Amino acid sequence: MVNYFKSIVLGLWSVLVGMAITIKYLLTKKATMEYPDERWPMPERFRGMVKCDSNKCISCLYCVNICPVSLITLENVKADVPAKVINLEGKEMKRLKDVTKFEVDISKCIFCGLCTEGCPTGAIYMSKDYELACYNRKDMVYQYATPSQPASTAAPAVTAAPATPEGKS
Amino acid sequence: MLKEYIDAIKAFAEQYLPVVNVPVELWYIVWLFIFGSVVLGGMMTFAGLGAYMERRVAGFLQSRLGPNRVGPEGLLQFMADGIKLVMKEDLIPAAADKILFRLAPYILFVGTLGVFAALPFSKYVGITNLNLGLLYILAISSLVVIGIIMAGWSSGNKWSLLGGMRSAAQIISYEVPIGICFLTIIMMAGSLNMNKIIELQQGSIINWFIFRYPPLTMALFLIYFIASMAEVNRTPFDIPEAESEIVGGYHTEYSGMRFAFFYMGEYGNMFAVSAIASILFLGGWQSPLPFFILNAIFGDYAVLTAIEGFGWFLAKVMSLVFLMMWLRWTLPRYRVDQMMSLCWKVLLPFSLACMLIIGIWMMI
Repeated sequence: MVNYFKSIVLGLWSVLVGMAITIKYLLTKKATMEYPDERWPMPERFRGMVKCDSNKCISCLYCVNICPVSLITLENVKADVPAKVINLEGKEMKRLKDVTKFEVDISKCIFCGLCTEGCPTGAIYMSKDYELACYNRKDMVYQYATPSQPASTAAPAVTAAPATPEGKS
Repeated sequence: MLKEYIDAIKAFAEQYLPVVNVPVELWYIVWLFIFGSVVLGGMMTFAGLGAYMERRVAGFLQSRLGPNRVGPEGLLQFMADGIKLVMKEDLIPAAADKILFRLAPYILFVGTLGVFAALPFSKYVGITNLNLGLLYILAISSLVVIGIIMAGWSSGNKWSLLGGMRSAAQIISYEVPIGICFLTIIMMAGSLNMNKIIELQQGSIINWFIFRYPPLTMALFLIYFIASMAEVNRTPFDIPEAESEIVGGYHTEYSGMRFAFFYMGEYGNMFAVSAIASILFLGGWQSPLPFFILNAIFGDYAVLTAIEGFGWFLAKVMSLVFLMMWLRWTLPRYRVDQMMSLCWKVLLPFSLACMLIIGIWMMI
């Protein structure tokens, strides 16, 4: 009989204890981070999307050769007037070749960061961008070159030609 | 109350509509239709908002946010859920008893809806003022059990059958302590009319029935609250739909709008039992403030007092509903035998003892 009442009192007490614990969580700040609206700041050495500043690139092909999965395609032409690029040690370098195509197929990337380690001018770097999902495999190939030589600009001019007579008015 | 409504509608119609000399029975049907849709709309809104509130409270108690992206603070989430449920495929299993399977959710829903027809929401707001209000509520809410058993049996699924049987056993056993709680209140009030029960609790918070014979009435309130939680299959007692044991219980096989009816029935039931608890023990639409303060604020304005009463009623009901949600996300589920022993070995003797002692107290 004593046990009966004791168990009832204990049961009610344990319910109250549990309710005190849960109400504490109701009142404290929530652990949720509402992802698309707010994000965690990435750590300093986080290796995300590979990006390249092709104006700095001197076409040394270091990154192309060292990449374990060969995801970088680099094409260049000889520059008429060599531009000047400042390398990581602060010295001026002549850029003898212009980059016409700098293609990174990020779907292959293993994010090892080897390509960035030996880059003399710091042109290629790992950004903190980690939202790389897309609907099409072709969208995962990123172009970074802005060619100064008009090799590729000639092509749009040809295709645009038939449209111009109608577009004159 | 009923006749007043009919007269009011008849007078309105005779004044503004070009119909004259229509029999009273027609106005009765019109009245039924109008108030039926009001109750249905109100209950469905509550069910939707209740589901939203449940998910929100659940999230907050688990240190997360819950739905907060559809509409302001996620308030329109229930509409999105409703649209989704309406657009779902309506499946009927091949092994099911087709007629009973189709009928079950509506019977359950009617049982819930019937309770709403007798609840006094405020001094002048209510569908009916039945003299046998409490008896009617006890009777009509039993339809829920029939709906659940029908759903469990007709699904042609062992989980459903087990869930239906468990639910029937649970609801029928827990109706005994609930009946005794009702009986004690009827004894104290001398009436089955809920408006009269509420009027007897007039004054201030001290006059509520929960404080009439302390601590017995408080114990009765606790017993009623626990038993009503079991009656509406809320979590410490959710063994009929225990998802880790029997998938979904009696609504395992239901989908689409039929499932939505079960869902709305559950939240409607939650509102109904909380409303009954607040009517019987917490003074219904009576304010907890003393009478003279209210007179100073509202004076003699009947409309204001009605709105104020409705506000108090909703506040009481919603706090009880919140308490149910809080308990749901705190406690684990009972085992079947524990649930039964709680009912028959604890709630029933305690409620009987409370009734006996209150009866003796009233005699002296």
